[in-house]
Amino acid sequence: MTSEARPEAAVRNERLRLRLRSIRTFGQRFAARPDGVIGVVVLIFFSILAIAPSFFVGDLQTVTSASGLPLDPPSLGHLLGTDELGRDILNLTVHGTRISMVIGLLATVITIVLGALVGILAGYVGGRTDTLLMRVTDFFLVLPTFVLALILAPIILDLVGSGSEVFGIRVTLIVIVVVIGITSWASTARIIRSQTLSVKERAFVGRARVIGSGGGHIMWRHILPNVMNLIVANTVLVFGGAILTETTLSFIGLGDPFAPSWGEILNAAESAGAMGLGAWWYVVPPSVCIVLVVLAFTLVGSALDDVLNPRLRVRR
Amino acid sequence: MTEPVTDPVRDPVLEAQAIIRGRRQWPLPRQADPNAPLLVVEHLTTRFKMAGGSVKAVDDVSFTLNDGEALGIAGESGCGKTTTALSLVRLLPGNGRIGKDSSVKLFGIDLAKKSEDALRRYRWREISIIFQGAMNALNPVRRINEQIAEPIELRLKANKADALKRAGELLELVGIPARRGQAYPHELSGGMRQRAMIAMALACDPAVVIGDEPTTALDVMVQAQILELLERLRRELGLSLILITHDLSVIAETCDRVMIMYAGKVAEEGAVSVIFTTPATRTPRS
Amino acid sequence: MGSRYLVRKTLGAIFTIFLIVILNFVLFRMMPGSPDRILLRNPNLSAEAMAAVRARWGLDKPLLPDQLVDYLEATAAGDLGFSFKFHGESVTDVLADRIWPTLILFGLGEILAVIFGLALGAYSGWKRGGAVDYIGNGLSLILYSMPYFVIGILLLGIFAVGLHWFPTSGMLTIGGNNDTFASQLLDFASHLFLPLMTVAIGLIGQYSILMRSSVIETLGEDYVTTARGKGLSSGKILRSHALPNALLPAVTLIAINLGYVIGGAITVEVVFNWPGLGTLTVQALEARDYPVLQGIFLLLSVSVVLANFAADLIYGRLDPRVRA
Repeated sequence: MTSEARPEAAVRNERLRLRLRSIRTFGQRFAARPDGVIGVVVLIFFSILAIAPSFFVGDLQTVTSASGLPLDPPSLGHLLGTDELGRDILNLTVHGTRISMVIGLLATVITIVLGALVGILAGYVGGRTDTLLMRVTDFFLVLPTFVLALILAPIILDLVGSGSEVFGIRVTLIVIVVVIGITSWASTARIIRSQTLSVKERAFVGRARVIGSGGGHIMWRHILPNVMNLIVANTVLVFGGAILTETTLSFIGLGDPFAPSWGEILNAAESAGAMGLGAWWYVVPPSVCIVLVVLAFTLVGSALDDVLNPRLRVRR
Repeated sequence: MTEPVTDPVRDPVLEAQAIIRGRRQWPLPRQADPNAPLLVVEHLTTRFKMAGGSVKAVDDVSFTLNDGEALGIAGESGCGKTTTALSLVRLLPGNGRIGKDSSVKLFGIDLAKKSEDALRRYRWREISIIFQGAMNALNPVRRINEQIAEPIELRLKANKADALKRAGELLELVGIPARRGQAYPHELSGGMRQRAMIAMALACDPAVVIGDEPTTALDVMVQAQILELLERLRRELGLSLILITHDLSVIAETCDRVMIMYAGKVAEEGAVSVIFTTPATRTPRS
Repeated sequence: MGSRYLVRKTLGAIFTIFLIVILNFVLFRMMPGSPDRILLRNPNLSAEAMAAVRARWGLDKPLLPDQLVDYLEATAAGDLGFSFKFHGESVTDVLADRIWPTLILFGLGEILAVIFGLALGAYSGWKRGGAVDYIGNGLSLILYSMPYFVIGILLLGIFAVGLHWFPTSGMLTIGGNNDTFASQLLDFASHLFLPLMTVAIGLIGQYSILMRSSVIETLGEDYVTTARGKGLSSGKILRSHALPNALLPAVTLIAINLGYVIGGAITVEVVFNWPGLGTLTVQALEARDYPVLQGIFLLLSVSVVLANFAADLIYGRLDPRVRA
């Protein structure tokens, strides 16, 4: 009946209003942090490049479509010089943006989803499930995950066979994504579990249980929104870490020469002996991009953390 | 020991002053005026610089403490009582400042005008503090007796063995067996920790002891024990005490005079017997 | 130190190492596609060699429990198999050859980084807001965002290739005429310098950021106010009260960090062609020399567990609250 419909709509409108207001407050507080703002600007810049690299520099150059002489220093025709196959470094670097960022993004998604799942489950359900999950998590924390990633990648590659594509992404890269995800979720899980434990103690969770809400419902509707702040701040930092890990894995040879990420470009540079030959232009652009992006993620992540999870500062 | 100017038989304040000052382990500070009252605070104002401006936590507070007296400072949370006490020795966080017109005269020496280095010499030796929440106020990685001995060793220039011995004596004084001094703070119960804090505050035989909510975090039985201890020490040692608490019953039991604060200002002041029967303003009950 | 704490940590370490060994087994024997595709995929092996390997590793026997038991026995006895790439050398020998260069590089690097990083961080945390603080913090942040090999390439480019102050690769000059021990040592040192600086610089950033925030947090604690109230000098407060407490999270994080640093150390060796476990890893990866990779995984993982164990012991010494 209409008398019941109106309060419903009123509640919805109220919720929307509150949400918009909290978004605006967040925006204001975040804008007050210069380091966070700089980070966001840098990330937007690289995201634009990643979305449409061909728009800026044309298609990714290959051996056959190389446009210049091998190892040519920067010139008007090639602003960042060429690699040992004659490909334009600017072209490679811009395309590398998309590959590095996409790998980072996918790996982050896996890490966060796995970490949040384990964290919330362990924190909310507690008891033996918690102990078991935490043992597994602690094991993964102690394990040098980079070494594990190093071992897993070639095994999976050998089993699955490289060279094919899945959803338009080359298998080699998928393997890297999966491997990073598998080996990085543990610290996220720990962090989220802590937060879940404290959210669990709050009154509204007790009330929800009293009225008979199921565990899954509570975890989805009550726990998750309240750990979301932490998840968001953590995601940004994980993203930066994923890019670093991917870069390192590619550098030691697990990358894909046909879809070169920044790390893979540096690997190729190393193999070609770029530094020994003085071809600094080969090495500097991807390095600078890596440092800028990771730095940006770190700055944004810590600014977000401060804004979303304010800690009581008793003194000073 | 100099002769007071007025007749000691007639004036109990000066009589107490003579006895207590005569009992001191260490001589008065060199700049002290032997005739001056123990502590005279005038127009104490403390400001904190914050992001939006400055906040006056303590606003023109004045009071006097005589030898052997127990002054209670009461008020609801946030009224500025702890800040008032900490301002006496300028133990403020980085953004806190005392007003220019404030004066804190200990034996006539204005501590408010002293530089940080000069002021340091009066801390603990003349004015010591029993902090709230002993678990956090004690260093978790050092033994209790070492922490009590620390000011004895460093401020009174004793050697380590003597300092530890004295720490043991102090612990016995507050009802903790001396050998328990080897323990770390987390190994003691809440009540014992608070006693250890009291022992530590007495280490240098100070003129004034400030108790900042010394019983607040404890349960009622232990609270009673601690108050009893403070009373006993007051009688035996002639302590001059400033007791800060939001619990008026504690003040009624232990203090001679009380000062009630509200929003940084003094709302009422007077003898406990008077204030507790005829309140002048309506202060919210805590 | 309480014996319960000690026993708990020791059992934990042993259990973790056991799990690692099992994991090793699972990875290389139980993955779908049978061990053949992975372990024996090397074209350099003749048919007889392959048969010999199959026999020795018992690949024809059922996986559990026979192969597992054999594997556990062999590992406990120190037999980690034989390398493909290095023409049948035992994996143990291959690893033993290359472990010392890595230990020296990495060990010295950690020591330098711990000393200077913690000192720098403590100073920044103490003198908050000073020029050292801002510059140090900014620099640390940038270094933290740089992969180790980028730092290495930078140093290599500037000091070795550009300025010719240091050699560009290897550990010793091949064919050099260094007969005296002193000149050999000097040669070694000049090769060691740049990779060592790379490792140290990369780590110093992390440790100083950590120590700085730890000191800042410690200085906000109540017992520091007590110490100030006691009239102690700033130096005394820092040394006796702030630092001993600020070091605690530092010790923990240095230990946890070791696992992550290994990745960086590997890449540094590649950049400088330092003949340690890092370059071995890359070579083994290229050649899909799984026995060697398996051995490296085992070695590095166990090392990290042992290092964490050592850190737990040190932490137990420093913090009386955990000694049950």
